[in-house]
Amino acid sequence: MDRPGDRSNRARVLGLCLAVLLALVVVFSLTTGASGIDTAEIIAGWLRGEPMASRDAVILWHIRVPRTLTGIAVGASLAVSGALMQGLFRNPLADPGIIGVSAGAGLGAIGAIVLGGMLPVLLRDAASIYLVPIAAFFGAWLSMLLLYRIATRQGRTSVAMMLLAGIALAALAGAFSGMMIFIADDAQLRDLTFWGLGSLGGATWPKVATAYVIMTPALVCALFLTRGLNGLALGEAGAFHIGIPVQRVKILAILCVGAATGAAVAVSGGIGFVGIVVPHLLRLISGPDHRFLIPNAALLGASLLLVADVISRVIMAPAELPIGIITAVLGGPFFLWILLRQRGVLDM
Amino acid sequence: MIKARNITVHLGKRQILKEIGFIARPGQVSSVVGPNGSGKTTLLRALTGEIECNGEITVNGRVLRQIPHWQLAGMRAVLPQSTALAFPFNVIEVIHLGLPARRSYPLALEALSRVGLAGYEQRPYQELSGGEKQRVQLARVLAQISGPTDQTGPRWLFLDEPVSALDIGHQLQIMRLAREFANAGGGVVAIMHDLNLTAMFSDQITLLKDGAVLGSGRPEDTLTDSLLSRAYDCPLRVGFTPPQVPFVLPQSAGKSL
Ligand SMILES: Nc1ncnc2c1ncn2[C@@H]1O[C@H](COP(=O)(O)OP(=O)(O)O)[C@@H](O)[C@H]1O
Ligand SMILES: [Mg+2]
Repeated sequence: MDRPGDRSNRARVLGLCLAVLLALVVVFSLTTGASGIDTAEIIAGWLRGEPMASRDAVILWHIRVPRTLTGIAVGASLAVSGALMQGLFRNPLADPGIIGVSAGAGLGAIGAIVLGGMLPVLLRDAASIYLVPIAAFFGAWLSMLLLYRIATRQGRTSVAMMLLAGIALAALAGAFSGMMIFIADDAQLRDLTFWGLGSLGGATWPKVATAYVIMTPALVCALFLTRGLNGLALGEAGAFHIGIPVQRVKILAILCVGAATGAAVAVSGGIGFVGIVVPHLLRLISGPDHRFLIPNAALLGASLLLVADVISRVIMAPAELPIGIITAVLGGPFFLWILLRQRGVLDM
Repeated sequence: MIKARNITVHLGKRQILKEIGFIARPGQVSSVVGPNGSGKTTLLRALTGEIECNGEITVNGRVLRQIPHWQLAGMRAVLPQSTALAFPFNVIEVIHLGLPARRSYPLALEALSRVGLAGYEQRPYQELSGGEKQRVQLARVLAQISGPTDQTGPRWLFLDEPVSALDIGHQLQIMRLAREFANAGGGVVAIMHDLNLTAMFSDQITLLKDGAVLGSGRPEDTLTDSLLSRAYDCPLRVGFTPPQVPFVLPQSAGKSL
């Protein structure tokens, strides 16, 4: 039956295409790298029951697989965080990187790396892998809460307030992060540099595990917020009038963004623009319905980040360019283009 | 029936509404008029359950505060004065927003044709004119409550200055839709700005001033020289068109009380 204006089938087909794309990109990511091993040959051999050459196996299993898995989780988290924030703020320009939530997460992570050394040894050992992501989560979550409080009055978010408060917040978080770096010792500085490059290069299995433990619940929870976010498009009062539990949706969305952004920043440093580019592209193709936007954003975000990661690995091989540079170079102009398109809507 | 007794609302430290009594009956258009800042919107927000208030409000005999809000969404719908959307929804998607739990394309389509916008399904909402936007929102609101009555009782339509930003043709069109909804057994509570449209379409009028009720009753009892002059702080003269519908012209106003 022809249903003019109904874009849900288009969004479903798009979702299928994106899933296929992600599968292809995953293979691409597993088979590309500086070491030039032949992944297809390794897998074929492994399927034939031949013992794996140990060097190849190590590279594949301990470097490329965790790196690819991390890329999927980080890309999906950043894109979904962007879509959630935009829905919550009712504003297509909201993005964890742009309005200071990533900076807040960064402060949390840096604080954990530097001050974590002061924790009692027992506690530190118990919390070691989780400490940085959890601190990043609290950093992201607190920034979200603050921003929302500042920028939203009676259910209306002011664009100007949101962007300006975000700048102030990012500057503050940056200042405190600088202070932390100032008091860090040499070993911590090495950790910080490694982390701050914004790279998937440091991915290890324990890191993958932590990332998935935090991000999976956040992303699953996001899927349950889609109707609520659609309702919030009418404003908080409008959403209440159509029966949306507004307060609950808001709290859960803020928690999800905190967890997803926090974990992404904790494992990969600051990677910008994924959260704004991905949802915007998807809205252009299949409309703003969050029931499809959120899952499709996860798929496209994961693919995009893996592609950016592969580029970062091969463009200056054998050296590696930080992935944050790639996403910024691609995303910055795109963001400007969005701004220009929205100029009419952006009456501050 | 919607009954409100002794409604008092504080926002911040200020008392915005003072012991308001208000009744709306099914089959009728009940209007609320009054000067800017007199508390009309606040009263509407209290009646829809959006804000807390002291006093008693019942909807179809049930205490408002005890109705779960997903259920409330099936009993009453609210048309705001204007709605801007941040995202590029098309018209049919906007109407579906009103049906979060039970999406139905035919229902949305029917609501669209009821407001005279059949064929607008794929148009981007953000690119519509003010009048078209308001009619799309009315279609969304009508789809939400899906009909003026059912076995559980009448449904309610709350309108906050639904036609203030519209030209006279669209004003009449929207008000006629509200009138039809009431004639079919539903109840309409409308906050109005234009006294003449109010007189034309209302069965009951409540006149607010400084958060209190100055008068209420049938149009010819509430739209009187003395009440209106006190409400709006300027001497107004009410005229009458043949079948006793009052009208007020700014030309007839005097300079001071
Ligand atoms: N959230 C609020 N906080 C404090 N005062 C408010 C708030 N909303 C409205 N008011 C005040 O309440 C009074 C009535 O407002 P409102 O109900 O919007 O008036 P009307 O709709 O009749 O123009 C106004 O003086 C307004 O300033
Ligand atoms: Mg008002």
